[in-house]
Amino acid sequence: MLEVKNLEKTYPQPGVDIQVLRGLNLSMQPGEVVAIIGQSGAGKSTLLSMLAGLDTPTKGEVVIAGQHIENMKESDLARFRAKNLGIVFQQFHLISTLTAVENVSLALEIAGDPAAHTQAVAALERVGLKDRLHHFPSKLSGGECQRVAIARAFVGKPSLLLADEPSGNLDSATGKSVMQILFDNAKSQNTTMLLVTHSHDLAKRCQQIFRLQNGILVKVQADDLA
Amino acid sequence: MTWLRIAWRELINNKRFAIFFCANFALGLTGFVVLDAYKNSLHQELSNGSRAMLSADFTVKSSNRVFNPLEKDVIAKQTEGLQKSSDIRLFSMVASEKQTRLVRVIGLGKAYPLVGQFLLEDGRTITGDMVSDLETGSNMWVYPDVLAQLDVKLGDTVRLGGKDFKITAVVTKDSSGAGSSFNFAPRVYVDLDKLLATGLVEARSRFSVNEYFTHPDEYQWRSALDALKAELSSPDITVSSHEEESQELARSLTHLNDYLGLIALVALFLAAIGGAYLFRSFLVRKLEDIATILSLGGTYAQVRRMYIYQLILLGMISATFSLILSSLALKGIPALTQGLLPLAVAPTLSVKVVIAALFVGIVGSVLICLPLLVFLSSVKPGQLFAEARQLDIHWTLPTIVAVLPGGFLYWILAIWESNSYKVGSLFVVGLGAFCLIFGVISRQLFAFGARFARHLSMHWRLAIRNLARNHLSTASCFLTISLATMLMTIVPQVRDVILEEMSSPSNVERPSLFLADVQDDQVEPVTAFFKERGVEIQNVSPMVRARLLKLDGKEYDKFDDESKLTREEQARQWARTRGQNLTYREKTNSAERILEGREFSGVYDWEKGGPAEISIEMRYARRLNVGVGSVLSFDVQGVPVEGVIVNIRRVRWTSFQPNFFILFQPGVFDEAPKTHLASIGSLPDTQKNSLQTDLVQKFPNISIVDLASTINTVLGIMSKMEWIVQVMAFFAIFAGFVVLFSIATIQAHARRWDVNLFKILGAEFGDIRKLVILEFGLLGFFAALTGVLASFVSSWVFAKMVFDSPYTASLVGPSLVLLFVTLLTIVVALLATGKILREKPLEILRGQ
Repeated sequence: MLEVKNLEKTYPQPGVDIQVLRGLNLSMQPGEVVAIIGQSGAGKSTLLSMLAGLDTPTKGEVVIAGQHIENMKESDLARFRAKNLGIVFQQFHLISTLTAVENVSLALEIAGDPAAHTQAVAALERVGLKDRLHHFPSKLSGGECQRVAIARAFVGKPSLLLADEPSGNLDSATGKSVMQILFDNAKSQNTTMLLVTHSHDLAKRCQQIFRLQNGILVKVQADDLA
Repeated sequence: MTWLRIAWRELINNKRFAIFFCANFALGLTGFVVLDAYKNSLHQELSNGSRAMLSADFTVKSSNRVFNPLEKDVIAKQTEGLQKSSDIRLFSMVASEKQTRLVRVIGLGKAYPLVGQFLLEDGRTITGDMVSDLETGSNMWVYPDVLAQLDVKLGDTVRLGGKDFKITAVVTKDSSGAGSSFNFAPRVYVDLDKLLATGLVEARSRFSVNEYFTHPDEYQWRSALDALKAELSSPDITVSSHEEESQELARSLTHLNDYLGLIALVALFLAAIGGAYLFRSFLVRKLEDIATILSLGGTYAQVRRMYIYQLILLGMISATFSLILSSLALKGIPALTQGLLPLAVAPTLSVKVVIAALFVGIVGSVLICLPLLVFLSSVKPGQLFAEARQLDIHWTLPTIVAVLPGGFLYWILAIWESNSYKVGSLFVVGLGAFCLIFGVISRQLFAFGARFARHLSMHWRLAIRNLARNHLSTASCFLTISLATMLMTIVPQVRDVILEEMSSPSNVERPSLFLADVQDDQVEPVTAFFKERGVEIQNVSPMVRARLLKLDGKEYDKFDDESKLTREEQARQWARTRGQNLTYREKTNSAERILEGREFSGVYDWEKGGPAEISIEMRYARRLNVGVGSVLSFDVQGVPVEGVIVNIRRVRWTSFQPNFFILFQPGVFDEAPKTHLASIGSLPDTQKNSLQTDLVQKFPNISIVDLASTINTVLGIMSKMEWIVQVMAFFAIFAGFVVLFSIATIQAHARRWDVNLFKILGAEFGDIRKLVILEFGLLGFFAALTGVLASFVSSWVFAKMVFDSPYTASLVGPSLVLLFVTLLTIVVALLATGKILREKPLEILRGQ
């Protein structure tokens, strides 16, 4: 489902170039859930940007669902994202002027789905927000916002779901419940999921765990995590 | 539909932005729309009323000579079957027992007016098919001012050209339009044959003979018109339809409209600054949403489309508001322009104006925000993963390039409004230069202040640092206030320069009377007349009528339809096609100064032959596109005369001495038929009146212009025009302060957290209010000061370039403006930020 080969990313800076990723490799099977852990500044955001096609690698290959995305044109990448990727951000990133259901249906509408609204309603029902369909983000709690974001990420049945610290902005109990929803959805839709997290407990729930250090991924055993 | 829906939803949920944007743009557009509506209505009214204004369908006019037999034959042949009438118009003195005044005499032929009518004070309506009392005796109709000026009443007798006329009626309305302030002398009407019997026409250097024609069948009169245009080629003869004549009547107002249009464009420019600033602030808040949409698979093109939809919607709403405001403002126009035109114009919004407003509103909105839309390509959605995000808008080369289409549209609008490539381009370049200068001053001034602010108290320090560090909002406000202040102060200063020049031009003695139509054989007796009375006659200048045939051996270009020409082309056409008044003199007088070339070599040497030496006025030379060494060929009443330009001179026209565009060396026109102009130096009023009365009794053909009353008429017109310009300038200023209010409000909201943090840290409401007062007070003061100084510089340039006179700045008015603008800026800022300042920190924390 996901093949990353020799991925490199260098940011040219005056005087010295900063190499964030140095020949990173990763392979994920369909339905597999992988966790990536690492310290702040290790390059997790850079890696996610590359995998989401939001940034271009300096070198290397990114193959998602059999398609190379590293050299895709901007418009093809946009279409690819709309059809194949779901993203859950730490800070939710809901459009403040759209209601919950509109936020979810927007993802489908961009992909040109004529049944966007119906599917968005169903997706919100699945994350337990049947009564919050027409609420604006400002009227929702943090946990509810993240559930809307999860519904939005899954509604298009993506091949790959990228989750960036989905519970990072939530209290412990809400975080747990949100993560449960995320794992349940991934399982029920057999979605391949890459989860970036600081939480070792969350990482342990994934099938594989990698630590991002010195620009490459190093496999970590669940038992090695404290 | 998805993007349109989101666009609409965003606007609904960002009401503050939408309202401020629309208010800004609507106000900016209103001046433009009002003026456009006025121009259109004026054009329409002139078209509708032009037949009555001409009193016919078309006219054949001969300037300063009667038609020759050949021309009479052509006219008679081509106008066979058409209804005809005629008149002769000239300026002359009319005398009562007590007073003497210059009047415009109209000798009415039979059947005048063919179209329209006279309304007389006694209730009579006189049309062309009636026989009036003018035909039956030596009678005269007069305009009401004449009665007062000559101190006479109905039934009294007045003298015109040595003949007595009895005043039998007062004209309250002449449909050919005598109500305009541009008439320097009131009209009197007599019968044409009786005017001819006075002998005035032969003794006049300037008069016009007009033949009028009409026919119910338009095709027939238009065919005659076309045929006469083709056959009568003499430049002294003008053949024109009622539409063409009406445009000529409105010429002075259309020139005023040109400049008003540019002031309206300043308001539009200020609105554009405000609009661009507001949209930028809005977009900065939306950058995360944009990145989110892109991360969901949306494309840059889709996002851009969404914002273009928004701008189109905002532009439409703004244009609609401006049309509503304009329809209210238009109600005041008739009062403002009263007396400036021979007909009343009640402007309305035509379909054309509505379309123009919508076009400028929509296209303008998109174009002023285009650089920001181009910037969207720089939004990197990958930043959404970053822990510390800094989404902001920065200027890049493509965004700077994207300013060009908006600049181009503005340039086109400036050319359109001014009807001149030169004036429009100069305006845009000048405005751009001022913006650049004001922008640099704003940046450097507050950056400099911030460097030394650490020695100041906390409030001053914070205020100056806020101004220095929020340089975009500071520069936008600074530019708006300084431009508005400049506009506010420049109008009265330019007026002062003109008043100063009109009332006492430096280094030039102003005459009190101006004599015209002095015949060759009258020069000596008239000089003796004044000498006997202890008055010196000055600047006796011969005037020879001629027409320009060739420039450097080539016949000048002829244009067709004047309405299609730019103002420069019209001025060039005017300079080339008008009859020329030439004079000759040994050297320049005190009102003239040679700019290029040399003085005349002396009297023309007939034995040596060759072209005579010519001096030409600098603007006239520019219009003819000639310089020193150019050869001009004239037809001087049938005799060809060639002249070579030996110098270009500046003429101070406000000296009111006999001044000419073209001056020949002496000796060329000694034998040519000519009349003379002269001036009489400063005289007390009582002597002036008795001199005029005595002179007219002895020399009834001589016209006397009382300069004091002429200057008063000019100043009266000028003050009316200045009032109109001031109204438009205040409108621009109002638009400027709406921009300031919008920016201050947006700034207050952007700094909401900072303000509340101050409160949490223990600052009181008074501290924060003091901060706002200081910040906006400093901004207002320095921006207004810059505007005032810029207006001084502009007025100085105006005084130097136009009048070549020294400039003394008036300080009282600009100082009051400086104080007023500073206070107004503070008040506007307090109004805009008041709600935020009064907020309790807890409310904002809860909200979060």
